[in-house]
Amino acid sequence: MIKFLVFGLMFTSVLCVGNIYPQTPEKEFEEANSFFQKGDYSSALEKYEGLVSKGFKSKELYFNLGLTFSRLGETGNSILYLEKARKYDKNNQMIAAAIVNENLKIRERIAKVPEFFIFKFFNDMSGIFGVWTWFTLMIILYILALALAASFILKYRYATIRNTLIAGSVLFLGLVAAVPSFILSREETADKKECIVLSSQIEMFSIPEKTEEKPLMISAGNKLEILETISGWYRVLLPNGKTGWIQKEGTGQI
Amino acid sequence: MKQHKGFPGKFFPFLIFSFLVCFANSADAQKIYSKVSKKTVAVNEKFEVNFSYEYQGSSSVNFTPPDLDDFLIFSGPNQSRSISVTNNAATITGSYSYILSARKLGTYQIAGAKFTIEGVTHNIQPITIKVEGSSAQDESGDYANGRDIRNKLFIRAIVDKPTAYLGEQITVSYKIYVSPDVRPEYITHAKLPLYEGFWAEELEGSSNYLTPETYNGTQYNTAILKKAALFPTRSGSLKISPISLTLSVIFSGSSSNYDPFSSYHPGSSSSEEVKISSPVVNVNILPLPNGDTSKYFTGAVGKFSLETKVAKRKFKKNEPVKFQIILNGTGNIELLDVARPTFNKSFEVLDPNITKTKNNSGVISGSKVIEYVLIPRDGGKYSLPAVGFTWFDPQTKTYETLKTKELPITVINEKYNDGLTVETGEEIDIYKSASSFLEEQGTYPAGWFVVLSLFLPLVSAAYFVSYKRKEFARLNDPAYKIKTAAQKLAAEKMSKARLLLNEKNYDKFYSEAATALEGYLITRHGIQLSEMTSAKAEETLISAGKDPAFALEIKKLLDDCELMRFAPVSGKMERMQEVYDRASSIIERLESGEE
Repeated sequence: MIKFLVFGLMFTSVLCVGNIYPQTPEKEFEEANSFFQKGDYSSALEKYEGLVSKGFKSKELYFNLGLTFSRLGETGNSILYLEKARKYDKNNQMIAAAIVNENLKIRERIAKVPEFFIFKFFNDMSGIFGVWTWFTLMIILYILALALAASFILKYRYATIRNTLIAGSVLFLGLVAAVPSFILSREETADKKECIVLSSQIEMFSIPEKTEEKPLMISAGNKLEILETISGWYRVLLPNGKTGWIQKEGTGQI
Repeated sequence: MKQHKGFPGKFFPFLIFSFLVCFANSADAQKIYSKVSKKTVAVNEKFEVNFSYEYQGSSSVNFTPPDLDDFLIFSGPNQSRSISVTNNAATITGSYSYILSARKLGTYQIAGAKFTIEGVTHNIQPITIKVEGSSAQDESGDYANGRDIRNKLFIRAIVDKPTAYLGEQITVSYKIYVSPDVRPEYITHAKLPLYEGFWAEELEGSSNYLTPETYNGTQYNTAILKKAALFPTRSGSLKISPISLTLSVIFSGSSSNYDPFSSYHPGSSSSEEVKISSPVVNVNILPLPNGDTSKYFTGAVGKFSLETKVAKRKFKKNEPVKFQIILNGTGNIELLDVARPTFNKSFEVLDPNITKTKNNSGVISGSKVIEYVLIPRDGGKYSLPAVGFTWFDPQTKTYETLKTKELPITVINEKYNDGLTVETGEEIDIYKSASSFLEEQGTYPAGWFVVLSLFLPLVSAAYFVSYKRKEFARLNDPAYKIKTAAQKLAAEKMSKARLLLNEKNYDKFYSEAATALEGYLITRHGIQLSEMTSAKAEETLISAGKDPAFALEIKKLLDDCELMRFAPVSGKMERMQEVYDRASSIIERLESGEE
């Protein structure tokens, strides 16, 4: 009897697994790709979205989904998934190019305020490598600097004042580049929350409430930084430096 | 009181008595009347019904109101009562009145009203009211508790033209007129116009303060409540809906037709609620004439200018070309549209970006900029298309067409780069396969890990430096130097002795073993070589605080070595191992300093 029960349980569990995952994600992904290549974008979209809804995530999946939305003319969703893909691989030229292309389609794109040149310099530099590379570089330079200081204190033969000054200034320059770049790229990856406008237009208010005031309209596809969240509302920072409240509905968090 | 020509609703309640229908239901001393201001009224037209009584005596009157379900009651029942004494007899007169309006067309009866005076019930005969047609005029038949205020407080809807073409602007202003003896306090309720059949744009120009104006020979204070530009969206006779306000006003020093006591209080003022509406204005909208309507006509009416613009003429491949179509002029800017031009196939055309600027003072004017972003995918010479626009000018009553010139541009075969390589839509392809489907996006070093990574090397470096410094200090210590020199010497000699032991060379062995021990003691304890004897060694060790037994043991070993070297004793070979072990143990114990 027990044997029978165990067998029955095993059998049902096999059936269940079979039902939940009728196909491997790789297979479904390939199917979606072939739909895409045939130009059947809505079927491809259905497949890709199916994978996302099952909890699968990867750079490739998000990128292909973004591209599918782009072909279907849904700029907001396209940018959302392309940006999600970019989170995996910040320096991927293909993803960046797709985002630039898609951004051109935004109906009313909010212009970005030019950054202060020092911030721009460090922001650009932090984009050269990923956060882990910057971290490794920073730690190596730090250990080297400590070793230099130790050998100077211990008066090793090669640690003359001249040599220490030369090596020290090289390490200092390296650290000046690596530390802010690491902090910025970590902030970008860890703390920065952004969302993309998905509805064709959403309204921005000065308080989290639909008021009589004439709201500012933001077109689909614009990327906004989330500063604060309260039930149903985001306080956002627009690329042009303005802040205000928008309803969560109609936006997608990256 | 002046009657104003052209002013709608020009009847006054106290003149209506000419239309009076009297139904006298008289008893000897009790008289009952009913009066109606008008027997034939229009829908929404206000009229008054009055039920009066007169009797001699002192008892109270009971009034049963009539059934008024078919009517809208604006006010009532309004009561009045007066007593007059003639020939020692008191006559009480009074009335109950209503201001009503009919809701629908038809013939209705006001029935069921009763007076009960001194126990006698008097039924009042039904009054027949005929309702015919709708009254636009009487939208402004304004009353305040029966008081006629039509020429004291009213709103006019002023249109700039009674006839207009479809799509041509009509400006309507709602202006309130206030007689100097009326003081409006505040608006309690406002019903704003709906402008059915029009596209409406609010205009600037409403004022918050009153300005004096003479209208029909009478001085008024006026203010513009609302101003709007209306663009008719269908032809025919259109009604511009009225604005209705409920105001709280103070009438100063005025007398009421219905209040017999007000004349006793000249100059008294009272605050009352008044409902006023502007009249409905009819405008005639003409359809646009049949004429030379070209393919560019999209229904624009007004006066416009058109141009196309492109910022430069030379572009790189994939560089966005911003092609602007600019429409300027007076007319309904909001509804203007320019047909989408046909662009060369080698351009990828994105949806246009539309920006509007509008001037809302007086006649609506402004500009509309339609910006197409084109991405040239191939090099070559192209021309951006000509754009045409046709509109109807209501002043000249003709259709006008403007056509721009084609704009030639050159696309050079150099790739455009704005910091990122913008590939063409076709060149960007999907990923064929994915490395993993459960990859976490954007991993980053956790805070604790960063702190640890910075802290550990620092601690290690500090430890290393302090350790190294201590070691330096130790190596430079003279006592340490002596100790290490002694150790070195002893170790050297002992290893030599070991070799000799293996070779069974007892002659040299005992000498080496003794030298190892002596050498150690000489170096470590500073005994002069010339003074070195076993007795001296024992003495020095005891004076250095070593265990006397241990010192004796050393002395014995040294003596034994001496004996074995020089005395002809047997067992030299056999005792080598024993001496070696003793010497090693002693040196070991000396080094560890345990004795």
